[in-house]
Amino acid sequence: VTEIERPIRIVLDTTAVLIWIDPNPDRAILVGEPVAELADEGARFAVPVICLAEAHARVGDTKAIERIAAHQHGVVTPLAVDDWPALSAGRGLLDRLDLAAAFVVADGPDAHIVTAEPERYAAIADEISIIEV
Amino acid sequence: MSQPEQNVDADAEVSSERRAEVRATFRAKLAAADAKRSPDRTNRRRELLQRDHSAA
Repeated sequence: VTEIERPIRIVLDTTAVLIWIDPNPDRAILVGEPVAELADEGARFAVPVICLAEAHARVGDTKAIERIAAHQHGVVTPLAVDDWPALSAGRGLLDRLDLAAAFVVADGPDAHIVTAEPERYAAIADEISIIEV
Repeated sequence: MSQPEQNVDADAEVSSERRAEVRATFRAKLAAADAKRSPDRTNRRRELLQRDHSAA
């Protein structure tokens, strides 16, 4: 199965990243196990590069962020020039650029945003799919 | 593979039962989320992202 054929089923936002890198394994498994479960199915997670940066800015755990960025069952979605209008629209709705990035990346019906703060997406609750951790 | 680096020591602190429980909970949430999928919602999402929501 090639990378292109492995579907993206979840998009991790900043809060999901923070849980995954939590030193407390009881918390880390709340994201780690879902990632492993999807990997067993041949699916992947995505994480917007802005969410990685925001998580790092909050906790400064460089090694943990680097491990997620290089994870074999994930993909970091970069910023592209053409993304700015959608990111601006998302930022206008959600008041934060990292949330907007998750909104933009969760394209298509099969990708769900994984977050610890579903209330942050209340403004677009009818337009997205959220899985709370 | 509970942590990004597949930290064996950290994993050892969490029982296999607990990990199975977390996976089962996630599976249920994923199934519920999948059940709500609809082309309409996808279209509304894309429409929202094409609008100008700037403060100006």
